[in-house]
Amino acid sequence: MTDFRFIHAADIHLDSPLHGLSRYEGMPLDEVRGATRAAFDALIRYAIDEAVDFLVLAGDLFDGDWKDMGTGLYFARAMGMLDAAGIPVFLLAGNHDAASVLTRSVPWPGNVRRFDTRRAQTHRLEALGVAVHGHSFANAAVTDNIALGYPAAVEHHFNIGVLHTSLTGHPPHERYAPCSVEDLRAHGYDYWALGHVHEHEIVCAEPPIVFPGNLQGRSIRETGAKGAVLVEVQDRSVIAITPIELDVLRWARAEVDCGGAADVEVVHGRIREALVQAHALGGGRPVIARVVLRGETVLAGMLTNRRDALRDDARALAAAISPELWLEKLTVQVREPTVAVLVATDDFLELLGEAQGSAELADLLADDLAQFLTATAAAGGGEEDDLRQAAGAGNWGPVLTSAATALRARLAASGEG
Amino acid sequence: MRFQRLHLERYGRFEECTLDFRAGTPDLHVVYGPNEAGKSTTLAAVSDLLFGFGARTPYNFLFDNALLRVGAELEEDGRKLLCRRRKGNAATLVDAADRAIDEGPLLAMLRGQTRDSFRLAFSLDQEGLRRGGRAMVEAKDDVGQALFAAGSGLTGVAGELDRLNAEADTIWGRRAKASRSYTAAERDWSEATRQVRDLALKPKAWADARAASDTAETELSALEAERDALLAEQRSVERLRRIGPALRRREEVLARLTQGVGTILLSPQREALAAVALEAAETAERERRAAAVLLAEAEARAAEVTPDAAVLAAAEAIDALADRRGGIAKAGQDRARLTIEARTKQIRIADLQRELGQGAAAAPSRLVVARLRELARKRGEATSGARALDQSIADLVAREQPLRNRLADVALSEALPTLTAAVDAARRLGGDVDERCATADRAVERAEAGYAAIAARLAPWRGTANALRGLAVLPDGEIDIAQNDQVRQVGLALEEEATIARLEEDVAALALERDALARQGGAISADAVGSARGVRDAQWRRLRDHLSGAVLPDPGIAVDAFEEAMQAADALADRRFALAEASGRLAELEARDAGLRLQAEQARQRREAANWALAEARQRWQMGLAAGGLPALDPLRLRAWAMDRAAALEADTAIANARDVADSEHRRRHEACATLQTVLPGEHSERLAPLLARAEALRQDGEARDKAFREDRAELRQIKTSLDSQRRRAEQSGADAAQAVADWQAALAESGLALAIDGAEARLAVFEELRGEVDAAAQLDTRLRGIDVDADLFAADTAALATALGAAPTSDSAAAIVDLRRRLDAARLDSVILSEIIQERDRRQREVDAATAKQGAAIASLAPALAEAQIADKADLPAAIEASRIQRQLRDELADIERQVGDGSDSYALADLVAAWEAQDPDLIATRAATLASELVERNAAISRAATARGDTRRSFAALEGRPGAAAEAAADAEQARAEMAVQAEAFLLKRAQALTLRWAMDRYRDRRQDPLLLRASRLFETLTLGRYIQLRVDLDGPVPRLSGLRDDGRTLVDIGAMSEGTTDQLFLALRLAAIEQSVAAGVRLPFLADDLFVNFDDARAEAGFRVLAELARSTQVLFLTHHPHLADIARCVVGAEFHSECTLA
Repeated sequence: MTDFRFIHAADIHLDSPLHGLSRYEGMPLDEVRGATRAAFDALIRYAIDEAVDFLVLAGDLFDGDWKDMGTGLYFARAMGMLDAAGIPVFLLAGNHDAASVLTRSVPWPGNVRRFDTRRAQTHRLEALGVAVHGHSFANAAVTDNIALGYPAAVEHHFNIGVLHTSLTGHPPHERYAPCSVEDLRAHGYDYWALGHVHEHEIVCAEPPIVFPGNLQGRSIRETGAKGAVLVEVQDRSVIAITPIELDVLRWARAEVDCGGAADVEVVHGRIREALVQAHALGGGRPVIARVVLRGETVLAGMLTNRRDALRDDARALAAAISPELWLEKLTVQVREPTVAVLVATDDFLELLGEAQGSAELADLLADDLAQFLTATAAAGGGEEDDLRQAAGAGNWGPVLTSAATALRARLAASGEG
Repeated sequence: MRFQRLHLERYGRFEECTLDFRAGTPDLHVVYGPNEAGKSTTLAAVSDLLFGFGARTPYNFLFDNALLRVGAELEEDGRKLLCRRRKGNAATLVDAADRAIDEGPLLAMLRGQTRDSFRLAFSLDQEGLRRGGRAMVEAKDDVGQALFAAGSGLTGVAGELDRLNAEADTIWGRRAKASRSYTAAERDWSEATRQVRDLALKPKAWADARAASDTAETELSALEAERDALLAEQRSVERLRRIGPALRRREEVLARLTQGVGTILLSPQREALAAVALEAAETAERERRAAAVLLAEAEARAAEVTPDAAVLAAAEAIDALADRRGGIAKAGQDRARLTIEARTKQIRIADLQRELGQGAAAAPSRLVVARLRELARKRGEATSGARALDQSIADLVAREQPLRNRLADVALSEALPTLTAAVDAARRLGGDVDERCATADRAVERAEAGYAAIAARLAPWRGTANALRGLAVLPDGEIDIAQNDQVRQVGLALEEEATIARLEEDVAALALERDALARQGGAISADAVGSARGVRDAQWRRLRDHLSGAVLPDPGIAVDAFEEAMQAADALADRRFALAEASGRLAELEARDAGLRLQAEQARQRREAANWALAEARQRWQMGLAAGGLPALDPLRLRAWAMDRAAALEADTAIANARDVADSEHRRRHEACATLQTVLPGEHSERLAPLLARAEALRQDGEARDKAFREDRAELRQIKTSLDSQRRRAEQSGADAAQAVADWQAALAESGLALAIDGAEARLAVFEELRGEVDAAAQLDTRLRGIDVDADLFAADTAALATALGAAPTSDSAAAIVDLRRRLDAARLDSVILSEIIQERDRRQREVDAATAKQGAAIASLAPALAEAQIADKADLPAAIEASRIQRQLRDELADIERQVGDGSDSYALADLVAAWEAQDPDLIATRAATLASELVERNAAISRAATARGDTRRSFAALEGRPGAAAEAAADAEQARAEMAVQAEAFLLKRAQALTLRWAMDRYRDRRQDPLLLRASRLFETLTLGRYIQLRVDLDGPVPRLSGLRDDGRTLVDIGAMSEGTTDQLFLALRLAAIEQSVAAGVRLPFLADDLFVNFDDARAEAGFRVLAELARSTQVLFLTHHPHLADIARCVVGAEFHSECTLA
């Protein structure tokens, strides 16, 4: 039995764009545009530099709806470089690949061994005594437990099962090729190389059942370090599974507690602290951060009203911390402290308070904004905390609350003349 | 809640500044502070006290943040709160010992108001008022906006709504506009999406293009192979055709070479040298012959020329004589002129000698004449100097006498120094001393008049100033106590009076109501029933009395009367029962009536009690005054009297001071006048000015005379000095003249001349001229003799030379010289020609010698060539050289042909080529060459087509991939644009929701508050505009309800836009105060802070403003901060001095 090392990667989504990042002065367009390519290049370079014995890609090489053959050719050229270095690649088609025309059209070099889509297939590397089993997706929606159809382990070989699956469910990832850990263990393989879930996770230690996570975070939902795993095998036993960080940009959330802040300078200070922490998470890589303002503060109205200006402030603060720290977005989710209004005076404060619960005003808003919501559908429905998502769902309460809060600050400021 | 006291302990520039606000109605307080005294600071302090310090305060420039303190005594419904505020993050409300206290009671007093809402609702400054007025105009009569702006204090509300809508419009709109930020982002997104589509390489297109490219490549390769085969064949045919002619010529050359076998082959260098030597020998022979001919010609010409040697030998002598001939001729001409000059001189000498007469023969020497002339001049000068001095002395003597006479007559004043001292002393007193005395007198009069005026105000008290000074002084505190006591009693009485009036009004109203109830017939009062029953009972008593014995005069009538009364009473009772509700109401009214009357009675009693207490207080006060000798005045007037007394005493002091000043001035003037009068006898005056003028004139006159005396005396001294000096100089001149005459006589004696000194000058001058003429005549004579000697010598020399050269003797020396010169010139010409001919002859001889030498050398150099060609005679040599040259050319030609064949041989060997050429059939070769060319043309065309096709497919394939990664970059751009769209959409949603919420809130506000607010504001507006507007009206006809003002004519409606700026300000103020009254009525009873309002109002309007503030001050506290004293005065007038409250910032 020979000792060997291999790389397990998945969910490359080559040339898939980064989401949710508005362009602004100073942002490195080329790095943002080419992030997934750069991460993929890093994977190939690592494999060649480290002279690993083979590479396992567990699905989702491309985005399903991505039709640029240039992306396929880029991938093929990279495989060609591995071929030149004598590194075989075991390649499994995932749900995105099944939907992608690229997968079918790419001129694969000789070192690439793909798995059949009709049944589970086994490739062997006799020199190393390795058997790799896999079953590619035939179409984008595989809801059967295809793990059950994988062949029995080959005797005296190190058996690797390659599968694109959500296991028993990994929200928000969609449910594909569902199966249980037990289903996998039952095959008696030595390592399960899974794909689909974008977070790195060692689901089971014996045998190792591993999600390597995706190569490069592409939105604020994919924060933290991203990359592949390096698996070292000695005498048919896995002796080390080492995560390799390959991402070139990193996403981070900067949660800012504005609680009790009575001055915008204080808020700036806290944003700066949160951004410093977020930048530290990058480990030397450029970081894209989302700043989320939370907490109960008397500044709630002002912060809600001035969110555009705050976005610019936060961008400036980020730029001051590091030229490689950029702002994805700033969301304002602060609340005003509750004030016991002892006397009903019908004054404007109270009217604005009343507005928040007014069904009549909500109807007015719904009528007024219907065309806007339809016309701006292309911008997407908004995220969880966005006013547009609430408005789209007919839930006007949060919209009115934000409007009244912002208005209060705005009117108070305008009264100063 | 109200402030009882505000304590600016350490805040801004304030340290321990306390403002007390007395309790009472109206609760209006004027806080006066000069400009920059800190009104704004005070207002900020109120907010900081109530709501805590902001994170950054500008009021820490004197005290550190930790030291800042502001405190207050607050009061509400009898509860008091003593608190202080410090700056900090928590527990900032503290007690007197800086211990944190619970904020609860303060928060309860604030009724949920925040710093902002308090600022907006409970404070107003002039700028805010102006802004409010503008807001009214900007609202364009929109009642909703106007009421909301005024009611909330949010003067910018209309603009804010416009801004919100405008800001939303810059993001998104129903119609796309490139300038909108959402639209711009969406356009970027569309563009990027389109690029993704355009730039993406379709897999099928890529595969098709690659297949097409491969096919084209294969086709091209096949055609190229065919063409290469044809090219190889063509090259072979072409080679044979190319080298054919050369091979033919080779054969010919080889044949000719064979013919020339045996020819001696000279080397090319040898051939060339021999040819050159032969040529050189011939050339040298030709040159030698030509030179010999020219040599012979030169020798012949030399024999023909012979120059005159004798003449040439005497050349120098001839030239010398020719040179002298000019001088001799010139001297001949001069001689005649000089002879005439000599004769003229002789005539002049004779004239001069005649003029001198006998003495002419003994003319004195030049030195003697000079000496005599010097002496004559000296004597003349001395004589004329003495005459001038005599004249000057006579003039001085003439001036001296009158001066002496004047000095003897002059009279000087001896009192001048005294006079000058007196004038100077008077002047030091000042030119306006009379005026000053008058002014001081008038000041005394004015002070006395002032005292009299003030003393008149002290009535009924009468007496002297000293008596006034002796009166008792009541302390202010005592007066205050008495005054407050009386004021309180008066207030109580007035209050009760008001209560009585109100109760009486209520009673009257009740009476009216009762009458109305009764008039309706719906109610029977208990009184009416009682009174009917009384009538019935009276009738019954009469009947009973009749039945019990007392006889009625007419029982039947009495029975009828009883029955009638009984029925009437029963009917009333029945009706009262039937109309129980109305009756009950009537009963209630009556009960209330009774109650009100009772209250009125009690109020009257209280009023009486208050009046009695007032009378008693006044009596106590009067007694106290009498005891102190003070006039019987009430406290308020006594306070004024006391101030008048102080003023009177001050005026009395002023009189004394003025008198002191006047006395001093008068005394000093009197002294000055007395001094002047001592030097001005007979002059008398009280005033200083006329005395001073007279003394001044006297002093000037005395001083002028004194000055003239001093000047005359000085001149006399000067004349005396001059006379002495001039007399001495006249004596000296006389001596000089005598000396000159003595010297003259001595000189004459020496020279032996007899010459008088007077007129000697002219005779001495004639002596001089005579000597000059004699000398000139002697020189002329010498010159004439020299000319004659030179002419004789020249003629002798010429004759001698001519004889020597063999010329015929002649007397004309000039002609002889010309002849000799001509002969010399001819001899010189011949000599030059001969010399040139001899030079040419020598040159020709050298040429002949050189050509002969060159010919010899050339023939010698031919020897090696002759030897090599194996011939003896050099005449055979050219033929041998020619034969050798032809042989060598043939050889070179052969080598050249073979090299040409080699060049076109395509590296084949010569022998092979010769063999192939010899074996070929020329006709067949030509035919194949033609065929091959056409085939190649055809193949090349096909290849060109295939190559183009292959290039096209390659380019198409390459173009398909385009810029690597461009589609992915476009997709990234699209995502960025979409993210921006999301941000902009979110912003639009918030802004639009804000705008709609604001509009909604304004409409709600109007719905709820329009009527009560406008009703109250109408009243205030009427007051503020001094009745020019009597009502505010709302016009509901338009799309939005519109606000306008009704003028005092009851008919004219004025839009807000048409009102003057001042009126819109007043409208805003009216609405604003009405809203505050409503808030106060609803329970938010916070102090209203008016910051220098009314500064732009005229006095009448400011007064109206204070009236409405005073009304507001009946329900809540009003603090009016100002730096205008006249506003404080107006406030005092409006509320009355006794209710006026004022404190000063210091």
